[in-house]
Amino acid sequence: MFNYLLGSLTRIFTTLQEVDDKLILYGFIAGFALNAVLALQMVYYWNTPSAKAKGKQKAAPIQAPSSPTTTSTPKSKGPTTRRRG
Amino acid sequence: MDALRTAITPITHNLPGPIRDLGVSIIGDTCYKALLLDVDLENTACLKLAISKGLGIGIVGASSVVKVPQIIKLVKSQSASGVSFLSYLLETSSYLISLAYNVRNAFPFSTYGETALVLGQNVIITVLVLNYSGRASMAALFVAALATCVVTLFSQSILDMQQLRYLQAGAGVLGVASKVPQILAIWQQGGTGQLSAYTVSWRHSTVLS
Repeated sequence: MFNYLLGSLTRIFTTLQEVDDKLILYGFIAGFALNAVLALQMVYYWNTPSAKAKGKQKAAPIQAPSSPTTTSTPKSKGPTTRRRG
Repeated sequence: MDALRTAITPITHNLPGPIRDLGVSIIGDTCYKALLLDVDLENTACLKLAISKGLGIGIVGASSVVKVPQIIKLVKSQSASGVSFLSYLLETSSYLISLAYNVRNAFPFSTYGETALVLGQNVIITVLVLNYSGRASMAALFVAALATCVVTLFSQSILDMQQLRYLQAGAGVLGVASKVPQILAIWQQGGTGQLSAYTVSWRHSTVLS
């Protein structure tokens, strides 16, 4: 997910730099915006348990996103501590 | 800066012919001279172009193998389960339109090359999926339809630029439309559920990027 996010951001830059075409530019901007929403959702719900989480483990080795796990941990733990207090 | 320049110029002025030709073909005569021969790093226009080219070539390179894991998985399991023919069909169509649009506008290959490479891998995946789900004749039909589309999209006499422009806009809308249900579903379920980080990137990355 995150490499695609970077990819679509990069494409906006290369398009601005080398391609003078609004249609393509808007396409990449829209793609980047939606990828950004999806990426934020992934980070936000990273540690949410799910019944079918096994599918995730199957696919994980190919992508290997190690850093987002650590950054998202405080976010998902946050609500539980708040509820206790 | 000057020390760097005096250290580098003897090397850049004596690069082997093929490397020099490659450099010129990527960033052009003017910028090759400015960046490599004169080592003028304050030439921001050329520097930005060089960075843009480097990133673009990187994306095209990475895209050349991006779907190989999926192909290997399909061939190993000999099963099409879990792979949606429709989503590949839509992605392939929008890639084909983008490719035709870019090629006919004669934009630099480094800015759209991934569409061509992913398109090729998508065609392989689609044919495999149809074969493994027992629809081999559909696979033949798919390839034939694809060939017809290629001829239509690339031919100036059949489809003029204005029509192609509409198609490209349609492909963009399709790309956006295909991601929105995903975002809403995650929102409603309050979690990414069975959609792994990988699947999400897989299905949604690419229509536009």
